[in-house]
Amino acid sequence: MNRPYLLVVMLLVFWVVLTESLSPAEVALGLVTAIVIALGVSRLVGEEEARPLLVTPRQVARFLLYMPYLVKEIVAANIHVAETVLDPRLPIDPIIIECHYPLAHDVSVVGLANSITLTPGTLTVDVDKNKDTFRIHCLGREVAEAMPEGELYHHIRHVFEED
Amino acid sequence: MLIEAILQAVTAVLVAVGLFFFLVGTVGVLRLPDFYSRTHAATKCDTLGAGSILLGLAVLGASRGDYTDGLKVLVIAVLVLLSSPTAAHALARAAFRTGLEPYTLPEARGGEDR
Repeated sequence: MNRPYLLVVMLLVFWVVLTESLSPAEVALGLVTAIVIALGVSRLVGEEEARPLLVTPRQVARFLLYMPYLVKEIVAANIHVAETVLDPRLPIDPIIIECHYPLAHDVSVVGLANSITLTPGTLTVDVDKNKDTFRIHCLGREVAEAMPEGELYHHIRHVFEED
Repeated sequence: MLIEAILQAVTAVLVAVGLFFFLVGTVGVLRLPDFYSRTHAATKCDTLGAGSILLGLAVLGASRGDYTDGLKVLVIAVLVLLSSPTAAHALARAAFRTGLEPYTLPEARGGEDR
């Protein structure tokens, strides 16, 4: 983390919003907590220079329009897990696949990787940003065969990449 | 009064749905065969389970005419939505780069090219 104080400020604002209190004792406790967290996190992400995720108002607006679709997919993912793990036969056939999803911005990579993890049957294992390759663990073959079509990829491209 | 009762019923349903999916996630972690497939169950079910219960709490606050709690709860829900898949990715990537092989069906081993 190149600017740890920025993280401390963000964490402190989050703390104050949640506690709804500006009393010195609570703010001091929040400050100590924020510093401890920032110190711990800086060791985790300190190797690579963190580039800021630039987000434009248009991207935010499109992301809000994307949210209902994402929530629908999260509900479908949970029903899929419920059907799978409550089935006595435990019908899974796991496979790790690689998909080529070229994206220009870091924020789209984050958005796509997290969306893949939250949607049915798929989990982002690794992302190679230089080769634009996403390594994805799939619970079943049908899901794995549908991934190269890139339904989510096209959604994310529309949200974060198109003008 | 009636609206209050309806909102409390909605809260009860949302919390029950959240608990059901937490239970499913727990069963999944216990039954699935390896680290990667368990991560599927834990991540997806924790996200919807926590989201549903938090939404229920926001509705409960609204039934008492208290909307600031609802907004705070929504902030926490967004945090869970972002942090849960990110944490899953960090764990899965660490496992993969350490060389942990995923479980595959016995008949799929060696047979197919991928």
